[in-house]
Amino acid sequence: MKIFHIAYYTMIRNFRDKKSILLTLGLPILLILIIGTALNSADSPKTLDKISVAYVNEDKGAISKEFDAFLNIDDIKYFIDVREEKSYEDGIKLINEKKVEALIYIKNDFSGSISNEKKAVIEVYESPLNELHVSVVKSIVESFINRVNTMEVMYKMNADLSNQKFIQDKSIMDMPITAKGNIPRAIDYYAVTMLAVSLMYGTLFASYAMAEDKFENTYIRIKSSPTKAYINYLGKTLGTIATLLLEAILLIVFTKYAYHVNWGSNIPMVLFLSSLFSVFVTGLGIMAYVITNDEKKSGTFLNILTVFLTFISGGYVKINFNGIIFDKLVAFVPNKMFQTAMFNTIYDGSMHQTQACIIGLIVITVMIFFIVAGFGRRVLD
Amino acid sequence: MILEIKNLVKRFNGNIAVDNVNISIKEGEIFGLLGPNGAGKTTTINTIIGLAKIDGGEITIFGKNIKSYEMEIKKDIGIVPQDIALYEDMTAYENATFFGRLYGLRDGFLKDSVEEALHFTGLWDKRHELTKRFSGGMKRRLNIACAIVHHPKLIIMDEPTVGIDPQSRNHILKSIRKLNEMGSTIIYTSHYMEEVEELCTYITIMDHGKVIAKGTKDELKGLIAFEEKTTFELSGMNYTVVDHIKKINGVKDCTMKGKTISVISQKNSKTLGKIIDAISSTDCEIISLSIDKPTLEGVFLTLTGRTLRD
Repeated sequence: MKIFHIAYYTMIRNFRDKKSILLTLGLPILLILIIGTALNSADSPKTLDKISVAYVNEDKGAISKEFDAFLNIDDIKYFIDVREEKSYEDGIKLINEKKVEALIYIKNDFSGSISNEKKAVIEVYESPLNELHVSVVKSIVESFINRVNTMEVMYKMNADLSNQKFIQDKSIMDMPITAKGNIPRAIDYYAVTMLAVSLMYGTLFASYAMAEDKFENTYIRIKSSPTKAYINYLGKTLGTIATLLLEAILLIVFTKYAYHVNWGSNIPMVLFLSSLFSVFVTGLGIMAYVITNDEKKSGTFLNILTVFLTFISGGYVKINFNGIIFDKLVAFVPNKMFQTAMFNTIYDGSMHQTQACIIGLIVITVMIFFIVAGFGRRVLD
Repeated sequence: MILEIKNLVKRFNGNIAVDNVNISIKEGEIFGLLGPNGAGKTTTINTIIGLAKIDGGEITIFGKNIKSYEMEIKKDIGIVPQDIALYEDMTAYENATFFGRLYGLRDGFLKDSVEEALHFTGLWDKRHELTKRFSGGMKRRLNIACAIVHHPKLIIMDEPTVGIDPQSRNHILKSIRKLNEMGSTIIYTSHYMEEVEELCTYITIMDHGKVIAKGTKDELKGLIAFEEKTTFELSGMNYTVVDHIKKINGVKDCTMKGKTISVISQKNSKTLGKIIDAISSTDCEIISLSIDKPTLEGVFLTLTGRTLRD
């Protein structure tokens, strides 16, 4: 297959480009060591402390009682120290006084809404003090909600629910982030964000791969050969994706053994996420070139975009924007989606959130390739 | 005919670049395509290899219409572009392999063909070196190797010897002859008129998008050979001899510069003996004599009003 032949040589040539490899692989590996070591204080906790949470349940229905029971499971109590309060105001007061790190609040119509098939929520109010701790509380609540949703579906399918109780089983243990009580060290955090940076710089490989034949004159040879243009560009695209995936593997293996970075136990999922992000990055690089139709302009744009997206997604330093709208917007940044999915995978976090990130990345990638197909006809032909 | 172009028209933004061009190339020829910059020869070549779409006319290669059989035809065409068209970060072997694969060669046959092409261009010993470390001449040779790796029946060479040392130039010219002997038909463009004169069996001259002359070397020279120029170097200076020569029937002009006399006379006017007698009648002796033959450069100059490098 000519496509694989072109892909193979594209990959070989990318790895021969010492400057680019230094930028995309060498620099992130160095930054992981520098930032990770600098921010990882010697007495940094290796395990998660118990999280103090205020809990207000104004609902007296059956489902909220199930949640009470859920919070009393030993494994949940291992993570959080629940302090029941009478009113929402009391809970908020405790947050403001920094006596608790989050408030779980259930309104009085919670069970009723579920029974009437209306939207019902368990609200989590967070203290900005410890983002990680708050994410654990959110994961615990989410695991309960998933359970309720599952039961709802089973009920609608007339399943026998008589034996369904919140018991200490594996399905609950799988859900909360840092289920084993481990928390990421700075070096673990930056290994993931720098992997995203490393792959993001791969946009330059993609942009160059599309442009090079024009200024290298090789397009005369390629166009005069009995190989269709799309075969050539598909080969280059595949080659760029393969380059990025191999870079990701090298970075993961190197940091795992040289820096003892925790990449979790689900390596196939880590590699799948890296592949997905590589496809997205390749598409982004190609899109920048086909829209600008100028390799220099496209390169400048991609460099700026990489730095910007890395910054707002907390790649260089963790940022707390303290704005719900902005936080929600950042959640749609592809880097953030990749990082969130990676952290959830490595630290046994929310599967639901991981799936949402994967779907988000796939949707954005598909959209990008549609744009490439539209502009590409004009520029690449 | 291996290639036939009928009434080819190509326009760029309304400007006509190729204007009703007709070209026929026989199998086994080394076909020279000459013309100053902007004459339309590169555009004509680009239409043959599918780089530019035609606005009118018809191109038939190997008896097949290029519009209907583009991919099939391309398999048997090799192109040596004017600018080096290689991946500099790949070795000579990898370049030849890469382009060979684009032409559908595979496995053992690809390996053998690459080896053959690199041996042919004298680069086999350097096959594992990166192209960016090659000299200009070596790159030109690799440019040819990549064009012939798939054993094309028709090879198009667009100025393949630009900017290289004499040694590499000789190697390339020998290679072209050898390729032709091995059965390839060659379309050759060059700014070096002596190369075209030495290599090409049939020549077409283009200017302003049109074919202005075509034929064998001798046929083209015949177009302008109405005069003969004879140059004499004498032992001394004698101005009266110029007047004597000018009076000879058939002599059109005679000039003297130092001890050198240049005489222009009508072709086949048999004036040489009379001129020698006229010089001998003075006290000067003839030290040397040369008769200037018409050249392609002269043909080109006469037909286009420009030299080829204008």
